[in-house]
Amino acid sequence: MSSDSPPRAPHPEDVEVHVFGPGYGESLLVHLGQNRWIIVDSCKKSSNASPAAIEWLRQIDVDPGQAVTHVVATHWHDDHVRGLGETLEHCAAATLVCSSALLSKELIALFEDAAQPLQAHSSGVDEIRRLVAELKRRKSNGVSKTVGLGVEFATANKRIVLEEGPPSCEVWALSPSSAEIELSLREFARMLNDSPMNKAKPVVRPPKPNDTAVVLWIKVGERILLLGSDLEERRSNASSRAATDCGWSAILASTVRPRSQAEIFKVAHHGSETGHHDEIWSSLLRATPLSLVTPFVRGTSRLPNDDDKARILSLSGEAYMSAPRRPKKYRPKDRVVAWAYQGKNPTVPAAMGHIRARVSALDATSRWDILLLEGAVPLAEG
Amino acid sequence: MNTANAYELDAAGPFQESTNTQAAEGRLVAPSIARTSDDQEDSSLPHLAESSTARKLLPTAPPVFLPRRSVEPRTHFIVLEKREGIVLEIGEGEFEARLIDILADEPEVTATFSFQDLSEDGRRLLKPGAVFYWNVGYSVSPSGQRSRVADLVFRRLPSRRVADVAAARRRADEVLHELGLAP
Repeated sequence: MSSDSPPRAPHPEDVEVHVFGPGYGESLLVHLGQNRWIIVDSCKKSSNASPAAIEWLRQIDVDPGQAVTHVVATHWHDDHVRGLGETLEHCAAATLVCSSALLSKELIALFEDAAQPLQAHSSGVDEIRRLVAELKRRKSNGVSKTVGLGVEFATANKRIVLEEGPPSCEVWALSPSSAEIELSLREFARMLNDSPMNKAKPVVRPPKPNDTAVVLWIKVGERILLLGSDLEERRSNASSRAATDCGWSAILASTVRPRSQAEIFKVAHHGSETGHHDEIWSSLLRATPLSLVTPFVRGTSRLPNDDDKARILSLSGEAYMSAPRRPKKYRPKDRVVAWAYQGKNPTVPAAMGHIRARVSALDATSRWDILLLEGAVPLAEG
Repeated sequence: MNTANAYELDAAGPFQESTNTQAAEGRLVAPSIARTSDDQEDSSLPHLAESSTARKLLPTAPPVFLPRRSVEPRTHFIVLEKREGIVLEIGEGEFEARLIDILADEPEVTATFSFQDLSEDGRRLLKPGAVFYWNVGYSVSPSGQRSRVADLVFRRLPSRRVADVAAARRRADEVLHELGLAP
């Protein structure tokens, strides 16, 4: 581990993975070499802050409007989309990568039927609406760089990026499978059709499990990364088709995905048991990889739990977490406000943490340089 | 009924919409469409004067004359903290919510509320994902007496109609067409 102050942009031949995450929220930023960047999901330090990845790029004097080639929306859970619309607005040259389910008629109709945006909360519904608004703006201004509108639909076994080097880079989507997309579309249609009439409009919440999460396999020079998003594995009570054609099982069963094993893993679904599959660690990853985890701390929900943490540590060479799992007690300064919170066990998530992992993309033997910023901690201590 | 938020009409022009400043005296009120206290925080509701529902109701709603508006001091509220909340989980006799500060940039808080913090109406509206507003401050009486208040008001969502769903599908088609993604 090293310290590095002030932060500087990576060398053109370096690959970098940044993991941002407070107790609630997650965003990744990856340098693909030669000042090519991709942003995966979005989170913010506070309601008024800029998206974490955008803030970091500005800190190291990189213009997100030019350097970010892709913004990936892996799925629309609230903890992955905070500031996503704003991120795309800042990244004028970027292609949006998402599941086709995210821009399906079924989901857009569901969002159109939903209640109006909230004042303060950034929900998946609001952020996807903002993404659509930005795409419309691009379309009407004629700035879309492809026949469509600068959108690439991610599906299993699809290469999204292929750039020459040095270092060369390629990015593949390993999910969602066509079965997952179909199941999601059916679910969205059911949510729209089955909500009762003449009663208050339903609150639109993403279905569980995370069926359409986009998992990315990235190769930069000699280095390979696996970004697990929130993809989960279906367990009992699932139909036999869903159990084998969805989740990690579908990726593991694929015969056409890239075969090379990754050395660094953004652990899926905050390290939870539902995001785990033994064969991820034996088939998709090299032995004892470098594991990066974002916690999920919201009230009484805590991920990873102690068992998850022990499992990840036993399978990893090194493991880090973007923020501690323990929330902090909220102590209002005003005594009347403090009175109002009495007995309500108010907590605030840990401050935004940031892990930076950097290595030369061209030298397969060099070690990853890990920098833990703000609240980030070794997993064993978190 | 909260008359302060009632739909107001100008006495000089029955069934003509009026602004608040025009309706200082001799107001007519359509009581059947007056807003309830739960509606106060609903930024999503269109003003009733602009809604088709209001227009349909007006000719049949019996007008009621209200006395001249009082100029005496009234109870008012000093807000110290105002948060928008989302219900996360509902347990036995309590629910967990995420609270975001609307007035300042105080940190996001997760807190557990007792059902006892809710009105009967609030209990009906309580469900995962439901939105509410939590105001903490002082209530100041006309005599100047202050009392501490923490007020939790759920946002009411508009009623869902068959036509809304059809319109949502139509708008989705339009969006996809605009984006060049229509089949």
